[in-house]
Amino acid sequence: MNPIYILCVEDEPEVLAAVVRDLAPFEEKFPLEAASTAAEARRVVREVILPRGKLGVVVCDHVLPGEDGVSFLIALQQDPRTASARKILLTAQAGLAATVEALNRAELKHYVAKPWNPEELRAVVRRQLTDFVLEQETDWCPYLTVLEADRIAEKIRQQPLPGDG
Amino acid sequence: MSIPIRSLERIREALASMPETESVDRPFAAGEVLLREGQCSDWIGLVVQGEIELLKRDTSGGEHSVGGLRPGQFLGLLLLSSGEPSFLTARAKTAGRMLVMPRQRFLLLLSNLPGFYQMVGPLLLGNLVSRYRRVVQLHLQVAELSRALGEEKARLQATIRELEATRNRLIQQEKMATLGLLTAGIAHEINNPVASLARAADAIEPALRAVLDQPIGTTELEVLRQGLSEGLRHQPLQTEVQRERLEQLSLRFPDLPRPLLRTLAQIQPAVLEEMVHYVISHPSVERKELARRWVEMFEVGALVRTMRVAAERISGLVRSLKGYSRQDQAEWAEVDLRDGLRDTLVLFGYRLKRFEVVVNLPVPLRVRSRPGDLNQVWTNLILNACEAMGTHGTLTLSGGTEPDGSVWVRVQDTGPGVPPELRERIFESGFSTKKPEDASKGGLGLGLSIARTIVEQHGGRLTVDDAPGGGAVFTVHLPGAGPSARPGHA
Repeated sequence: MNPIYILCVEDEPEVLAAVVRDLAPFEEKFPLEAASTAAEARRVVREVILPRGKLGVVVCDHVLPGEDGVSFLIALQQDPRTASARKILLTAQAGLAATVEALNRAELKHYVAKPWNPEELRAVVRRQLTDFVLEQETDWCPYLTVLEADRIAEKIRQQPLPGDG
Repeated sequence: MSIPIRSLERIREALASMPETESVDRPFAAGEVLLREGQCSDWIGLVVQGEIELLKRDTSGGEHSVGGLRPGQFLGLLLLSSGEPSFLTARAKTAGRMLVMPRQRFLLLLSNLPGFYQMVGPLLLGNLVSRYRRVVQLHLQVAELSRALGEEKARLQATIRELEATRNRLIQQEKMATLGLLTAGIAHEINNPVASLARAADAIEPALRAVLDQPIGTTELEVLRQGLSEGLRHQPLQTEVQRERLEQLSLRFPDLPRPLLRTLAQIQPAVLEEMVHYVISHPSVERKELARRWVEMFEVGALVRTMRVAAERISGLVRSLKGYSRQDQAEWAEVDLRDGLRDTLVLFGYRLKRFEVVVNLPVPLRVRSRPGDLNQVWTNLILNACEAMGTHGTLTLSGGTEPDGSVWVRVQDTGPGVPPELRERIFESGFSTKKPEDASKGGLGLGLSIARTIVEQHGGRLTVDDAPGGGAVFTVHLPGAGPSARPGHA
């Protein structure tokens, strides 16, 4: 099975460590990659994630050295291989204009303000991963334990049995 | 006052027919000067036809029309008895003619020739009355004009006061806009350490519980202490290095969960090898358990370090903020400009993140100043450079001293530069290259104007030039604090 990756982009090492720590419970099923700049994140997507699996969720800061988070998310949206990835902005400071741009051009799914509540961050990531899995995968059972079990179970029930139709 | 042409003609004929008047007919052309101011004349003329303009020179040499003569009026009347130089210039407005008589003769005839006075007397009297009327009218006009001037002056003063109030209001608005940017910057800068502080505090508890969930022997305690110190010493790895180590570890220990491998990747390779050897050489349950607790303790140490770093960042920010906002102290003080420059860079760090920032401030830059005001200058120059560069570029801050003790600070960007014809205009109030829809981003086009005003209040100069290799460079020159403040200049 090709793994579905979570990618975190944050330039402050201590903050990145906290995000990674908070999302560790998902790693059982969803390997996590971390990058400190948009350029590095692009490299990770190209050289690590896409050769092995898919990009499921991106948690990205906006204010980064060099290219900013929103323009990185837009670039992901424009690439057919990563367009379906769910994009989350985790930031202390994205102006209204940048956020609107992310909404319109990168299909931003969620905006989490710093400092964040870890439970809330996990809930957001869990929902987005669930959406991604339901949309992109056909076998949902392996994810029941880490994702929104109710929604996955409901979806499994609605599936036509092999004998139907 | 006008004389009926017929009676004037009769008078002219009568005068011309009397040889003792020695009168001569004198035609004149339009524009001809008949009498010049300051010159003496020995005749008097009765205008018979045409118009004559009277002119008076003012102290600065300009000529003003002060009236005119029509048929029936005398030219040279004011000089009749005194014989002084002419008070006015008389220039023919149209072609015409006058009857000219020698002045002395005219005076003589007035008292000696029977019938002469009866003829010209009413004319003379009429002339004087008409000139007196003119004087009264002029007085009234002068009074009216000075009243209108007074009103105009009052209106202008009110307008100037209004403009000053508007300018002050705009400066205040610009300051508020900068304050808004500053607040946003602090919010951003402080949020990151606050987030990592809070998240580390949250993570420490479960890690400690995981260590303390079993009794600890003396030898184990020593091992755990070492784990803690190792964690405290730990410097966060670059994400690339960490990824590479994580990759190797996951190949080597495919059964271990990734979060654990990620922590192991943080440990110094030599220390990690020692621990791996300790477990693998005698793979007992106790040894594995101790290794697990060692890793937890390492994590605790790393979290404590994270918290220290975050706390230090926050207190650094607060220090910068205190230094920056010395605006309240309006007093002059001797300062090293580098402090204010560094505070400004720290507080606007989030705006500068996307740019390369080069700081070259090797020597103290001591000046007498109002430090808060100068911080406004650095802020405006730095924000201006950021706006000029857009999404990427290099901001270079440099400073130094001149042989005469004065100091300079340069803010250089790699933006499009300032065309020569705009180099003075950019310092004008309200001049902005930004489009109106960008105005919400903070600028009112006053930033550079305010910066220059403040620099000039400090007795300095603010200029702009081309930077070598493109972009603009703004230079602030300020007088030094004086010889006592320059111990380096022996």
